[in-house]
Amino acid sequence: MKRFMHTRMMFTIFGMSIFMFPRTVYAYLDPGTGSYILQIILAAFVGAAFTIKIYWTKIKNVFANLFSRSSQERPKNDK
Amino acid sequence: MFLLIFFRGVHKKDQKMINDTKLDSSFRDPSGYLYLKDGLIHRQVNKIYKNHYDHLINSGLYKTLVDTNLLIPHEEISINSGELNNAYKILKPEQISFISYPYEWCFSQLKSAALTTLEIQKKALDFGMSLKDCSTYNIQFRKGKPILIDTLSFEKYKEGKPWVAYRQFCQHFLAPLALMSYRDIRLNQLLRIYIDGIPLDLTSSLLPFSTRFRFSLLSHIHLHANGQKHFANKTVNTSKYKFSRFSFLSLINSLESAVRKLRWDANDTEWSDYYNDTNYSSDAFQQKKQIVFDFLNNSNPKNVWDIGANDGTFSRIASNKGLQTFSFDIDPAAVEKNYLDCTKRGETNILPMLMDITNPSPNIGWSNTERMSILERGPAHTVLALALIHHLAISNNLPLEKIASFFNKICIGLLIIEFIPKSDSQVQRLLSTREDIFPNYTQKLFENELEIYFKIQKTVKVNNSDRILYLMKSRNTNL
Repeated sequence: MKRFMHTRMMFTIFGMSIFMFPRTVYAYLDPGTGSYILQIILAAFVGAAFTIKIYWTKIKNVFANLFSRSSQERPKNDK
Repeated sequence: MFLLIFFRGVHKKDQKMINDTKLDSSFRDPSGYLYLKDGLIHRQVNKIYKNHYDHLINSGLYKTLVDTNLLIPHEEISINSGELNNAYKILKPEQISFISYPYEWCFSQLKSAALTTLEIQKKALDFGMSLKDCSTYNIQFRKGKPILIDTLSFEKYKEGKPWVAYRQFCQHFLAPLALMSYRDIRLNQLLRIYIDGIPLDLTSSLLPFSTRFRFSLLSHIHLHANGQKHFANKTVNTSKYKFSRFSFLSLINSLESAVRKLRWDANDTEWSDYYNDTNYSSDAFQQKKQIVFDFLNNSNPKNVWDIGANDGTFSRIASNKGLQTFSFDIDPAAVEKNYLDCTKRGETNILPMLMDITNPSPNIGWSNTERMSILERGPAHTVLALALIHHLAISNNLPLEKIASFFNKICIGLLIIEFIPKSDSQVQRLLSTREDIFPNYTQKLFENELEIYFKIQKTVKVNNSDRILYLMKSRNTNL
């Protein structure tokens, strides 16, 4: 598992370096391959961002529920 | 794949010729094609697409998308045996009243279309399907909202594969939106040149350097462009790379967030404050609205094209009467304001569009038939041309005879047109920095030229101004 993670990390870093420092190629032979590979490389980054977003939404919901519950409960207590 | 020609058949003179024949549309997609029958668009689903089509229907995706107004509804009709080879199903979709193209949309229209596409993709994934193409031309505006009109855009999702339409989404939606937002609102016109979306290397070179510090644009535009260049001449065995379903959803989420963050503020353009910059009183303005209302009331318009509509104030006189109204203007800020007003008020029968009427949308694409010119999408029954003629005649040096001939081409019913003489201060403004080489710009000659094609039915002068409004009827009309 560790080895897999290491390989994946190396692949990502290598991949990003290719995209950051491109050589000039004037012929468009197949723009689809670049789009394909980029998605594989981006997977780790967009995945991390999506995970954070999901957890952040969950945390916000917990607080929102907490506050809405306490505001709903207040009238009962007032009685 | 692309819904390329959709309503060519509405043009009556062409209708018989291409009736019941396969259109040049969707020629890139083996899944099916469009054809006209009795003047109505039909879609053949080929046998090769059977599994995908069945999954679309049986999984509940079709119903979900139609119920949420994201996909055009259709009915299946019986196959005329022997007539259509290779047919699995024949669909008769709900007909769209007017086909518009992304280079005719304002910023928010394109943004809405992008978000609609991503919404559809997310729903498709819930039902085990995915969009196999993401062309802007597959989105149209129906009842004021974007909707997918290509029922054959879906394929069964295979976990492990990246999104096949990713490049197309970036070129068709993200690139023009980023350019409009960060560089210049007019750059959506590049879509008129690049029919398969704006190339990402071009987008990357046009965007400001600072956009490289925004992760979404760095990754989906700049790195994407570089990646395309890098792998353009390489053979890569893509089968060894896996792209999980979670990664797929993350990618869609990333694109959605990139699109949502793109903004454009429609202030400070030539026309955005036009109605506060007129030379007539609010009483005269109200009177002008009443005249247009009366003209429309005393006739029986089928649909209305408002040319030079600005923010759609006068278009709404027609659309509020329930008429299908198409509201054209050259100014991106005016169209933006018009569209935002439509969405705010929930208006369903007005479509704002960006159009330079001195250089209107031409026929473009393969064989010059993929996208229709504006003339081909007409003619309109009723045309409004208010405070327009002086711009055409004086700012653009268009002779009145050419203007009259153009209106004859686009209008088969009624023409509500305003003439503003040289004595008007707005016309004087146009002439202030140029020599007056327009001796023929007179009310008399204007009427003479228009009367070649139209009969003047009513003439009303706007109070406290030199402006004159005409109601004219086409000499060719039986309507």
